[in-house]
Amino acid sequence: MYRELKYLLNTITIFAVATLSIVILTLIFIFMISESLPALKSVGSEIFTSFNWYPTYDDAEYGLLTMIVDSFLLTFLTSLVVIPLGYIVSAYLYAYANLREKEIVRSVLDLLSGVPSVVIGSVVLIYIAPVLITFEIWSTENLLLTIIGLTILSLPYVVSLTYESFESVDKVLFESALALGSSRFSALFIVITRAALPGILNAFILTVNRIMGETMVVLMVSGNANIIPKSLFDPLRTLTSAIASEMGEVELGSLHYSVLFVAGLILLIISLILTWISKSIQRSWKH
Amino acid sequence: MKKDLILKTIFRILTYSTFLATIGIFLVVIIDGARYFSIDFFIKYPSNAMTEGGVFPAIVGSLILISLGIIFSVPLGIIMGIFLSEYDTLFFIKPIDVALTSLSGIPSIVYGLFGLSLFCIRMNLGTSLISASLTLSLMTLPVIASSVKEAVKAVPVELREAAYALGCNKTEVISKVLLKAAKNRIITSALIGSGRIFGETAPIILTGAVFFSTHLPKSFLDPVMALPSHIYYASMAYGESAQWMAKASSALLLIIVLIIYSIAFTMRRGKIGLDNRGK
Amino acid sequence: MDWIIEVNNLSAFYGEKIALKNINIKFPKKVITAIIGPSGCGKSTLVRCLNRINDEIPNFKVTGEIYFKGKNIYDPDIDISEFRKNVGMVFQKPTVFPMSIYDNVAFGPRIHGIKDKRKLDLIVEKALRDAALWDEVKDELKKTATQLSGGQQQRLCIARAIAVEPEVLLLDEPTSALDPIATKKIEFLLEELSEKYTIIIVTHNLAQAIRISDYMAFLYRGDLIEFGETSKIVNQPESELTEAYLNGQIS
Repeated sequence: MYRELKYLLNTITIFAVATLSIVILTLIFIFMISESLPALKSVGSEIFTSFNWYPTYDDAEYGLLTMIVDSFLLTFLTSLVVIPLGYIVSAYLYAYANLREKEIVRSVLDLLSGVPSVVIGSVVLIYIAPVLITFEIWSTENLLLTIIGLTILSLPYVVSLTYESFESVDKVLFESALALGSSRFSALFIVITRAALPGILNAFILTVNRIMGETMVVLMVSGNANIIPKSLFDPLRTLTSAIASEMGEVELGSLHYSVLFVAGLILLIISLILTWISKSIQRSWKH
Repeated sequence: MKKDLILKTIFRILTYSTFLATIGIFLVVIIDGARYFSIDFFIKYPSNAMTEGGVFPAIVGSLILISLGIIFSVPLGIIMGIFLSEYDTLFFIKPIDVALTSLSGIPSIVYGLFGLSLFCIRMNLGTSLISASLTLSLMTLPVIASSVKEAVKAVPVELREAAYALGCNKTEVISKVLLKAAKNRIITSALIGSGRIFGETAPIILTGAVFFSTHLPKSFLDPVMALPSHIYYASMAYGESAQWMAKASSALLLIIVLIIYSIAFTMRRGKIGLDNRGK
Repeated sequence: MDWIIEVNNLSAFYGEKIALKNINIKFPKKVITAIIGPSGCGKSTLVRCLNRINDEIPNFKVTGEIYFKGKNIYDPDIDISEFRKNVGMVFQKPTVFPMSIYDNVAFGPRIHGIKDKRKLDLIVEKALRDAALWDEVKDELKKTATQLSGGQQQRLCIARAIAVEPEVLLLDEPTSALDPIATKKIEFLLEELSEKYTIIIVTHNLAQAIRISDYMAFLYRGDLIEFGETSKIVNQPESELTEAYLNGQIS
């Protein structure tokens, strides 16, 4: 009797906790939307169509468009660096590296994946930014530095994921290509990459998601200026850094506060879309 | 083959230079920062606008945050992971799985906003220790859950079948066999989760971290100083004279996180315990 | 009788573990040679050395020489790609690439520099005909190869291997994953191909070896016990070990 009761209680607990994930996700949605509503109602579409962000002026303007553009621009440019670089490093590990190299690089990767982004932000600020001053660049906090910081941050991540998807393909496919006289690179680039495509695409999407949502590096080294950068040495400001830098100073419940939640809502929706794409890629390949 | 030789050389140079540069940077952080380590740095409060003193309250604050964060997230994460692994034939596993994957992709700043509006404002906990650690534990929950799921899945089927054959029911198999067999990897998951909590900055500056405090938190409702947010404030706000503080704190945080991760990965690779037979 | 591959004092190691002990063997041209023996005897290792595909296994080492048409294939300055073109290989499981049937067969010719579409068409058709697959797939060459049945996939792998016109075809237990009907088709095909190619096949299926091979090599725990004409080995084995294996006492 006692044993059955215990079984029942345990099962109920497990099920209750499991459904918690749905509850949390729903709550996040509800709260983000309800805090955004005042701004969406009273400012309206101007939030998404205006480049002007003057939240503290008497005649306040709440346009998020500059930050939206900057977020996408930064994510795009960083991905352009980090994804090919990540692919090349993984390709080297898979096709050329010896066992020792593989082990060393992978252990280092594991460790580096844990470096907190605030440390990377301060590294770039303290050690890399001063180098730029010697080149007479007007803003030592700029797009280039942000890309460097984000690259350091996301490279371990994209390499581990890409390499894992190479590894998930049966090694004998690689051998078959070699047995036909193929170069190691062609065997990897044509055969293994194609066989691992869903995993590789997934790795890229997760990386993009991560770059898009990154706050600290951007907050510390981007210069936090509400402009669209015209060169690599211009500052910028993304949705994430706007939230982090301004939330501390707003009056709770004000329009400014609510607009920052709209910025968060945009980020939430982007990340959910990316997660959904990643899931459907995996699903469509399984069948 | 000639093509391979050329590509191998190029790829090797790229790989080596990327890695040496990255490792180099972090070595510089540690070596350059550790120069400023002193007894005072570990036991004193910062003073004179962060240009003197130490990071004692930030270290203690981070330790409290991490402990509270773990208390909430590890048990829940383990249960969720077990559910995902052991009840994966149920029809409603899919929405739960989707929810968890979605949660793990949400940016930390959004968790910060959510924590701010739910814990600080709606639940009236204010900018406080408890709000920050609850926010952190929500963030790490999906991370822990999915790695526990992998850990439990890796336990060999035979072990389960043997336990059922002895008359155990499902929850007994879970608590008496699976949890024990997967113990090492579950600890690894918890460690990785806590490593994440330790370094997170964005969510806590919205929900509970302050840049300066003259005392340790006296209750859960007090705000705290934490190491990562301290690095942020020190590197952003105080210019040249506080730079040593940022360097030393970065080195300290980096060392702590690297130690946590090293333990975690050594345990995962180690050949201790039953769980390794699953692979 | 002409030899095409000559193995001299070949020993092979996986780390510290020895897999082949001082093997000496000469593979005759344009016949089927079967390598047989109980599992773990080193027969796969031997065949995987013949085109150096075992180089892919970490910590694998060999000593001794293997001569292909008089040239040592373990010579450091050998062009491995050009050499492998001459020695095709088919693996245990069908290893079709995730691309169309046509692209699978054209893979080899393409990486060896043939770009002309008409030329490729001819090569693909000929290889598929030689592999007795043409009639089954000629209308759906653009179909993804993974949609074929297991037996068809394995014949596609044979077509892919012979599309680069090798002189030797190595097969590592090519029918172990197939049903009896598909197996029969492959066996029949191999007998036809042996008129043009030297075929070396590893098999754990003794009956199959006896049915199709002209020569036979029997390996036991890394040693080459006996090598000779199949009919001779089957009727009058010289070694007691061979006899025991043929009688099913070792497996």
